[in-house]
Parts: sequence; C-alpha cells; structure tokens
Amino acid sequence: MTSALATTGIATAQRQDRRGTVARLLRNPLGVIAIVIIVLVTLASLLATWLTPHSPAVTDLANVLAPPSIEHLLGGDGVGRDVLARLLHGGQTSLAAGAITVIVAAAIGVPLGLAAGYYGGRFDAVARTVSDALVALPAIIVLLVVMAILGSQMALTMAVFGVMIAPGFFRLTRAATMRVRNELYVDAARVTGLSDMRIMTRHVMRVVRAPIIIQASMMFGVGISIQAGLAFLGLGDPNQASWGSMLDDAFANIYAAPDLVIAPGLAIGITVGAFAILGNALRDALEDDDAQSDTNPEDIDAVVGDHVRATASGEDIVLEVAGLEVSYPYPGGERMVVSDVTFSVARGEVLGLVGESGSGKSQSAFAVLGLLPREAEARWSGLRIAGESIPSGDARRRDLAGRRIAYVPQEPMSNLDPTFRVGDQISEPLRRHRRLGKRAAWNQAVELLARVGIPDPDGVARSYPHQISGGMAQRVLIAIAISCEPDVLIADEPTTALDVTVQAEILDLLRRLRVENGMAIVLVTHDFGVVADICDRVAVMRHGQLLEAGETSEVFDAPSHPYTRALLDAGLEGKAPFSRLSEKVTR
Amino acid sequence: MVRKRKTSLFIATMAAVTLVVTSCSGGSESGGGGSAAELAIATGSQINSYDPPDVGDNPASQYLQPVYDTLVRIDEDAEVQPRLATEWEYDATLTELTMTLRDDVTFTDGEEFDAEAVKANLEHFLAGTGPAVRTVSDIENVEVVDEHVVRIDLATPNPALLRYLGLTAGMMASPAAIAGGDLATTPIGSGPYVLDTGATVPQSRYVYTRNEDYWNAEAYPYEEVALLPMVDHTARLNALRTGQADVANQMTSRFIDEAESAGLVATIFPSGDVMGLDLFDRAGTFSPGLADPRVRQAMNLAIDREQIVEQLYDGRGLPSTQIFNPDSDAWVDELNDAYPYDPDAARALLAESGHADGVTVTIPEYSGMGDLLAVLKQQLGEVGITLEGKTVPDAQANTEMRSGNYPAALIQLQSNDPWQAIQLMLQPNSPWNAMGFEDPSVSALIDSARNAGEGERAAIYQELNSYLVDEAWFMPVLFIDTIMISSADTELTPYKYSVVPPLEAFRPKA
Amino acid sequence: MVRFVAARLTSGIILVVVVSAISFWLIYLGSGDIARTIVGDGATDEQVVVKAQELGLDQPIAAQFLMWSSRAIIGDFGVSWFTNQGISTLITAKLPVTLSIAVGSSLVSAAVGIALGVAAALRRGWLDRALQIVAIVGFALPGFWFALVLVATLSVQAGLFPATGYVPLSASPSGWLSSLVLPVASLAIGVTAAIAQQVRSAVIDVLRQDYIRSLRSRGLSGSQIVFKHALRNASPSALTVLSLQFINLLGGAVIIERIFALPGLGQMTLDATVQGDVPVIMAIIVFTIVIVVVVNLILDVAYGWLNPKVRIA
Repeated sequence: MTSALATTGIATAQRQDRRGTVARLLRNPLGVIAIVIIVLVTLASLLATWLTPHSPAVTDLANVLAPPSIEHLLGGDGVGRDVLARLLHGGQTSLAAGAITVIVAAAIGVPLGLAAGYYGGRFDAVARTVSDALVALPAIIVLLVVMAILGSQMALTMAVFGVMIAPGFFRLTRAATMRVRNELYVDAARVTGLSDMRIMTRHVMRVVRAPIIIQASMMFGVGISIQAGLAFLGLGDPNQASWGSMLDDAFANIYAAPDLVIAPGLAIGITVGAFAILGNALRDALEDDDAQSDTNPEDIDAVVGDHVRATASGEDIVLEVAGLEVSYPYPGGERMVVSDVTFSVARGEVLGLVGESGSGKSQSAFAVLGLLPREAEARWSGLRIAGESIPSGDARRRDLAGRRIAYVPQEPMSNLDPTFRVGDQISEPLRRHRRLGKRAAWNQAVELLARVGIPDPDGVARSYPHQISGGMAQRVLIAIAISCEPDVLIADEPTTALDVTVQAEILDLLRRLRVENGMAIVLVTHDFGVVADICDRVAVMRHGQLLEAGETSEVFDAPSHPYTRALLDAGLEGKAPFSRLSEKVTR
Repeated sequence: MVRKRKTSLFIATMAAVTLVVTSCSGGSESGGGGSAAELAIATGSQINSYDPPDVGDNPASQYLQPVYDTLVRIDEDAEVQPRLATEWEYDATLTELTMTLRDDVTFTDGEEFDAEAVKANLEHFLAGTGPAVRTVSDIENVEVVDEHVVRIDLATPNPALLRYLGLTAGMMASPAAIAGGDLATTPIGSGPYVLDTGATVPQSRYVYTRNEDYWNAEAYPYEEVALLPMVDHTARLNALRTGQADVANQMTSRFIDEAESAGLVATIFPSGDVMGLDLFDRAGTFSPGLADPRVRQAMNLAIDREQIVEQLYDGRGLPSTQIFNPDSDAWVDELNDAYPYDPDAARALLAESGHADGVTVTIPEYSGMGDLLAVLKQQLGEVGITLEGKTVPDAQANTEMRSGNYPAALIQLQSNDPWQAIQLMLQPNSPWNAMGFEDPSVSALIDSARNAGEGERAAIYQELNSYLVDEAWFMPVLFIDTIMISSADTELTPYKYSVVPPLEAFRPKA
Repeated sequence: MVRFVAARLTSGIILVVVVSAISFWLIYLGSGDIARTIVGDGATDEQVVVKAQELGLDQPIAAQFLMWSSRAIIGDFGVSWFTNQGISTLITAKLPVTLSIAVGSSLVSAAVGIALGVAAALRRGWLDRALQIVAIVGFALPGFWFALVLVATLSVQAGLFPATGYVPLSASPSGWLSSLVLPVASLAIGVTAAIAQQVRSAVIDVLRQDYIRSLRSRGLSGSQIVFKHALRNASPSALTVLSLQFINLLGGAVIIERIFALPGLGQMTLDATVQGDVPVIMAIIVFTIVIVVVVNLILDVAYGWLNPKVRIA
C-alpha cells in the first residue's frame, strides 16, 4: 500500500509539463499584459540611446520647465533636461536597481532558507540569528551609512539593500521547507532512497517556488521604490538619471509644472505593477498545473458498454444516483471522468464501488457529496439523498451534508485541521447541526471516540492531530462522520492508508456501525479483499463507466465482464507461480 | 469565531500599547496662525544651540532673535541703527570703539544690562568655536569705562565690526546665564520674547511668549511666536495654505505663482548672498590651468548668467561678475559687462593659454546643491572646461570645501559689507580661501582698506573689485533673492540682505 | 511555550548587542572627522583636539563602544553631539509619533489586506483580477507619491485633514487621529497590497488542502470554514509578511515624516546620520531593534500559539 501511495505522489510530481505552464500563463490576459509591459519597458530602456536624440544629462536653459513640444516630446524638467530622455535612460537605472536587489536577495536567501529548513539543527539556529539580525537593522540607516562611506553608486547601494532583504526570501523558503519536509511524500521519497539534494530540489522547490516567485516580484518593486525614495531624499547619484531623481525634481517644481510627476510616477507604477501581476499570474499558472495533474487524464475508450446499473432492491433506499456524469475542462473541450453512472443504496446496506485509480469511483463519490473542485462539472438525471431530490449539477447539499450524508476520507492525517484539537473538530458539526452547547458537544465527542473504539477517549479528545497515529485518526474521522447519525456514509478508501491489522479493525467498526445506526454505506475501494469482507453489493467501474454490478457473492463467483475477471485474478492468492498476473483485456 | 477573537485580541493589544506610549508625550496642540495673538513661521532651518557663539549668522540665528537683543540693529535698508547701544564712536586709529548703552534694560532673570554684561558676552563669544566667531576676532580687549559705557579694543581695524554687532556677535545674554553654562539649551536674554521650554517640542515647534517687561513692546505686536522647522519646501507651503503657519520662509521662485493664486503674498528682496565658483587653486596645484588668468576668464565667459537667472531662478536674482554686494561701495556697474556670454571667446582664450584640449576642475558635490551645478557643468563643458563633481556627504560638505583638497567649490556666501566678503574669501587665512592663496596687490589693497577712513574706503574697494574681476579670481554667477510667502493678513517688510528677516519685519495687517 | 518565549527573548537580547556593536563600528567608519564637524568652521586645531578628547573620540573603537554600552544599559544614551539635547528625552518625545504611524499603518493594512486577500482567494474570476490590479497599483506607486496626492486633494483642496504637524494623543484624541490619517493612508496603501497578496496565496493553498474538503462534507458554513479554519492555517504566512512590512514601515516613515513635517524618529535619523551624530544614531538603532524584537516576539508568540506543535512542546 505504501509503495502505491509513494508512486502516486512522485509520479504526479514528475508529471510537470513546463510547456503547459507557459501555455496557461499566456492564457491569462493579465499575465499577457504584464509580460508585454515588462518587455516594452525593458526594450525602451535598453534602446534609449536610439529612441531619442537627446541626452539625459544635457541641460538646455531655454527648455526649463518647458511644456511638451515637437522637439521635446515630454517637455523639459527643472534644469532644462529632456524629460523623455531621462525617462528612457532612467528606466535602465530603475530596472537595474530592482534586478540587483532581487538577484542578490534571492541568491542569498533561498539557498540558505532551503538548507536551514531541511537540515535544521545548529545550522538553522545560526542562519536564523543572522537573518533576524539583518531584519532588525533598519535598512534606511544602514543604506545611509553605507552611502556615506562608500559613495552613492546605485549598484552598490542596491546590492547592500538586497542583502538586507534577503531574510524575506530566507524566512519564506525556510517556513515552506519545514512544512513540506515532514509531509508524507518526502518521507516516502527518503524511504525509496533518493538522495537529500534530489529530495530538496525536486519536492521542496516545487512547493516553495510559488511564494518565492511572488516575493521576487514584490522585491523587484521594492527595489525600484527604495531607489526612488533615496533619490527623492536627495541621496541618489546626482549624475545618474533615474525615475526617483525625476520625481525629486518634479516635487521641487510641483507647482510650477505639476505634470512633471506624471511620467516618472506612471513609469514606476506601471513597471512595478507589471512585475507584481506577473508574479501572480505565474503563481496561478503553476498552481493550476498542480491541480490538473492530480486527476490523471486517461484516454477514454469510445467504447459504449452495456448500460449497467447498480440498483438496490426494494425498501428504504436512502441514496439514489442516476445518469451521473462528471467532466473537467480540457484544452479543446472537456474530459469526462464519470459517464452515465447509476447506483442506489438501501438502509443497512454496504455497496462497494470498485476500480483502479482513475476509474472515476472517487469522482463519483465526490459528485454525490458535492465536493468536486470548482472547475468540475457534474450532471445527473437524478440524485436523491435521504429522500430529498437535488437538481442536476447543484453542489450545495444544504442541510444534508454532515446530517444525512457523511464522508470518511481516505488519508486520515491530512484530513484533520492541524490547528484544532480532536475534540473540537468532533464537536464542531455537533454544535452546528444539533445546536449543542460547548460542554455538551465535547462530552458527546468523547463518547463518540469511545464508541469508535479509542482506548483513551478523554486524552485523545484533548490531543492535536499530530499527536495521534494514523489508525486513531481514521477512527476520529469516522467518529466525526457518524456524529450526527447520517443515513448515508460514503467512505473513500478508508483503509488504504492503514496497515493490515488496523484495516481489519476499521472494517469491523464500520460493520458494527452499520448495524447500530442502520446506515447505508458506499465504500469506495480498489481492494477486492475489502469488498469481500464487508460489501453486500459491488459495482465495478473503469474509465468512468459502470461495467458490472450485483451482489458481492454473485459477482465474485461468476464475473460477467472480462475486466472484472482480470481484476479478481490479479489477486495473488491461489495464483499459479510464474504465470501472468492478469489477462490482457481488450474490451 | 476563535480566529476573530485572536485577531481582535492582537489588535487590542497593539492599540493599547500605542495608546500608552503615545500619551506620554508633551507638547501642546498645534494652533494655527492667522490671529494677532500668534505668529507661526514655517522655516527651512534647524537649530542646534541657543548659545550665540555656537550659531552662525545664517538662518539658524532666527531661533535666537526673539530672545536676545543685539547691541545695534540692522534696519530694512541694511543700515546700522541703535538698539542696546545708543551711540558709538571710533577713535582716530579705528581700533577703539566706544559705545554708550541703554540704562533701562534688564534680562528676564533679573540681571542688569550694563557694560559688565557686554564685556562678559563678548568674551564668551570670542571663546567660542562657531562660524561667526572669527568675524570679530580682531577684538583683543573689552574695557568697562563706566556703568553704561564700554570700549572695544581691536588689534587691527575691522570695518564691518558694527554690522557684526547687529548679528550673532552682538547678542547679549544674561551674565548669570553665561556663568551658569547652559545657554545652549536655556537662553536667557533681554529680548522681546522668552523661550517657552514647556510648550516647545524640539525639531517640531519652538514657542516664544511675550516678555512682558520689554522696553520696546510696540515693535513686536504678537503675543506668541512659533517657529516650525520643515525641511521640505512643499510642506512649508502646505502649512501656510492650511492655516497652520502665517509665513513660509526660504522658498524658491517656483512656488510664487501657486502661492499667489491661493491668495497668499510673495515678498521678494535681495538676500545679499552671492553664488558662484570660488577658484581656490589660483596657484595651479591641482588644476594647472587655473593658474592662468585666461583660463579663469574663459570660465567667466562660458556661462550665460542672464539666462541662468531668467530660467533657473525665474528672474529672481541679479546676474553678477562681482563678489561684492550691488548696493555696497565696492560695486562697479561696468564690471558686470566684463564677461558677456561668449563661448567662442572662451574657447579662443583657452587655446591661447595652451589648454585647447581642456581643463578639469574637481569640486565637492553634495545633495543639497540644487540645480545650478548641472547647468554650470553643461555650459563650462561646452567650451572644454570639465567641472567634475566628487560626491561628499552633506554634513561634511562645508568641511570638505574648505579643506584645501579641492581646486574650487560652488559656494553661496553672505556678502553685504565688502569687508565681510574680504574676511570670508580674500585674506590668506580666510575660511573660503581654502588654499591660502596670496597676492601682493590684493593684500596691499586690503591693508589700505582696513586703515582707511569711511570716505576713502569706497575707492579702495572699487579698485580691489576691478582687480579681482580682471584677474577672474572667482566665477560669480548671481546674487540671489530672498523669497518669502505669507498669508494675506500678515504684513511683511522686506529687509534687504537678509536670508531670513528679523521679527520686527512682521505685523498683523491692520 | 514558556521555554519558547524565553528562548526568543534571549536571542533578542543577543541581537541587540550584536547589532549595536556592528552599527557602532559602521557609523564610526563613515563619520569622517566628527570632532571638526561638531565644533564647526571657526575652530582652531587645538579646539578640535580638545573636543575630540571631550567626546572620547581619541580612544580606540572598542573602548568607546564599552563606554557607550555601559551607560546605554541603564538607559543613559547621553546627549546629542550637535544639539546638546538629552537623547532619551528626544526619543521619548519622538517615538510616539513614529510608532503611531507605523502601528497605525500596520493595523489598517492588516485588516484591509486580510479582507482583500480572503475575498480574492474565494472569488476567483473577475473580482479576483480587479482586486489584484487595485492592490498592485497601491503597491507599485511609491508611498511619497500617494502622500503628495493625498495632501494636495484631501488637505489643501478639501481641507479635511491637516497638511503638516502632529497632535499628541494627550492633547486631543480627535486631533491626533486627524493628523495621522494622511500619513498612515500613504504608507498603508502599499503594505496592504503586499499583505493581500500573501494572504490570497496562503488562503488558496489552504483551501486546496484535504481537510477543507472534509470540513465542507460536514455541512459547516462557508464562512465558518474560511474564517475559523482557513485563516488560522493561513496565518503563519500573514504573520510573516506582517512582521516584514512593519519593519519596512519604520523605514518608510523617514520619507513620510518629511513630507508631513512630523517630528518623529525618521527625521531625527536622517539628520543624525547625515551629520554623523553618533550617540543619536546608536540610540535610534537600539530603540528600533528593541521595537523590532518586541514586535517579532509578539508575532512569534502568536505563530507558536497558532501552531499546536509548538504550543505543546
């Protein structure tokens, strides 16, 4: 089980389509605008000498505070220099200021943050102290002193500033590294023997890059602003045209020629803004990339199977799903992950929804629960939960969620809010749905914990998620799910993440609860062993379609669909040595 | 909502901390100007010490004016008038100045103003280290002749002494306060106002309240005077526009139109400050070209003074080739035509002197310099003279300029009385003769001026002036104007040759 | 938790000492001939030497630092070399001004920034984009540009707020607030944007976590999920950026104080650094670090308290 999980994690990490990122970026109109602006500004600045015949330093007394004219497109400043020339050449200064700041800050902050977050220990302690010291030094003062000693060259000043704000990158990187460091897939990667460097660069950088990129774009802007500020205070290099010194001159002449503030102000605003927008757009493009790779696209065979339905028989049907379809937007159209799925479950029944990863079983479960992500589209010809009908495509479950229908997720540790005590998380739905007071809800939470078989319910209730084991966490999640005595329980691979002995206990628990509460349970799983153990009926899914359904014993004894047969055969028990694990299925 | 509670707890804590800290501060509410009761002046200068010897005759002295009387008064025409001294007379050698003092003046701590007080003050001043001290360093003795008669003995004649006694050197503090030693923080004088240390917030608001027993109360109609230091020009104008101040001083010409359209009044008069290049290196040590008068003359021909004044200063200033005040005895009108704007002639002179391929002059450059330098660099560059700026920190600018390590500097200096200019720039040990350059003709002329009587000095000064202009000792550019902006209900009398007019210049409009 | 706080306090103190030493050395290097600058133009060489001895400038740096720190520990920061005013008095007079601006801006921008960030994270689509642009404009234009525009429109034209000057809280609470509105607004605009960005990003990240989906399955209301769970989990990022921005604000105050003629530490710092007034600069540095350490401590405590792994340990 562990290896399967690790495979999923690493596989999705590897599935990084860089061309996809750029494509997504370019589809974001803001991203495009930002890129265009940045390119234009950079080009204009670099080509300044060719774009204007005037020099930024030449003063022409006849041109002092002159309004725009053919000769001087933006007029003259307080000393008669050509404003356009200063704007274009000044761009070089300002862009360089931003670039130097970011490069220096990132070059220092990111590697050190990575190392500190990953290795911890004394290195971390020392690095943090240095970082705190840098942060505590007032940047302006240090810059003033440095300029007093070493002169006011812009490059040096901005490099020093870069050093001073490196802690920004350091802290972000370190914090994110620490968060990620202990997450499962990194541990898994360690188990499978990947080296430290590879672990760090691969996994951690991928998670950390988004805040770093945003930070970098902000820092670029801050660099430009600081340089402008120093120039405004009159401390910049007087021989260098910059947007900041233009603002300084503009302010001194604010009444005589108020429009002098427009050009440099806009230049700074638009450039800095473009970088910030770009940062955001990049972040969005990267994040959507992650989201999409979670749901594995697979080729959908255009095979139309028999219309299979997994309907329950007779009385007291608490969950009815008919004609369920789930699709996601995909370049060039949409991608169906669930197609025409129909099933129902009666009170006290356990329906197993079986299939490989990517079969659409979890997606179906989420669709029923209304938990699909924003970009997904779900449709159905019928959905009734505990007798209440839900219009097609509607994800709201109003009073149903938590009360009539509940969800037990697959991965216990990541499904508990790490910042709240266990008891609080159990109490929460109780207080909401049953209107219980704090103490009453807490007591009931403790009772529930006892009921799901936790030995020290009081202690566990007071604990935080990080203090309990995976098995206990799963029981907690079950406790939460049953707390308001729902009619339907949808359990998504509730035992996959647990080891075998605990699995059995959880299944026992579910069995017990089914009887005690009279719940209907939909058990999503890829494990036929679990199906055999607890399910009354089973429905087999593949490529988003129902292939086969029926009573468990019947399906097991005589599977009608070749795919089902292959799955059953794939179990190792009773298999002839050296024979193929499964038959290839062509249909 | 637990999260919200935490947020509000955090906010509440910060707010509480802020409240506690901010409530522990003194200072009264900032009232506005606009009434006869108070005059609020937004000024560009700061103050470091209230002890006269520490303060120059530059704008900072405005912080001392309300508290101290001076021995004599400089009136609006820059003439010397009686104040604490009613009469005075030089002896024939011009080395003994006898002054008769008022007998009805007391310091605000009860001490009598008398000849002893004058002696104590002058001696205290001479022991100081501030920029104005050397102006009266000729004084070698102060003699108490009578209770209200004092005699000042000079080592050498000082033609501008009387003028200096109307400035910081002549400020009279209570002898008890001098002996007490903390005049720097607590000024005690006999002036029209008293420093209100309770209401004063350093670097924010300096408050002076009326001295009830002042001997000339009608000259000072305001009950209270407040000085508000604000470095930024725009901030000063804004303070004026929103009624927080009645006067903004040390403004520039770029603000005049806006002020007038807002119903404010701009008052413009000559400041007596000359701006230009002081060419220390006439011996050619750093910049060999500067030793040749033709090179220096070329510099004077290379700049277009008229256009500079017209465009950079909006006409508020007087182009000048001379370092002496236009209103003084030393000024010669024709000398102003000696160097018209003629870049070709400049280049010809440079070629003739063998420097056709250029001359480089390095000067200290600091951020507070303003626009003039950029234009000078430009125009001098056009004839082949490279004016190179070496950046130095603002605070060390003065020290650097006078260090003797540079061939020249861009200066702005007070030049009212010709003797003042001589003391500042022309003597071997003058602070603004940074390389100690000496010239026998100049030294001789200075000596005769020193010893000449009132009537004869004018001719000597003019001869000196002509020599300096012919030899292009300096490259002066202009005499700039003082620009003050005031509210419509404040009447402001222009005081010639002051960067910041004295308090008696202000009255509420009737 | 107690050990956590104690550890942070200790490192804070070490920080103050180390930074003071480094700053002392840096400033000393940069100040040129301080004694001459103090006594001024008219002084003779002997007078300069006397002054230097008086101020201890002829001693080696280490000795001077020891002298200074032995007095600083008991709160005696000496007098300004240039104005002869007691520094502790000066600072206690000016600190409230700068703090009012910095803390005020922090609070305003935290409140608005968090609201904007959450809104942007929840409502992707056009509102998110619009908020981004607004926030970015606020961040991109320099604070002093806003200051100028605000003064020109809201103060000079409309007369709603004073253009210059500071009213202490003790003199008049309404006057105090009024004199702070424009300076705080000028600074807060940029900081709000930075906070909004990070909060948006952090909230988006949190909302993608598994437990959020589980919370939804329990029928909890949207606002409960966002404000109770998501914000708490997103708060480390918000706190990080808040602490960084607070320090920026202390620096930004230098320029803002000049435009609004506010008698705060910013102006004092500028003058002192330019002049080389070493006692003043050192005092300012110490105070600034202490403020920073205190603010960071508060934020770290909040951090630690919000993170159960730290709280329990």
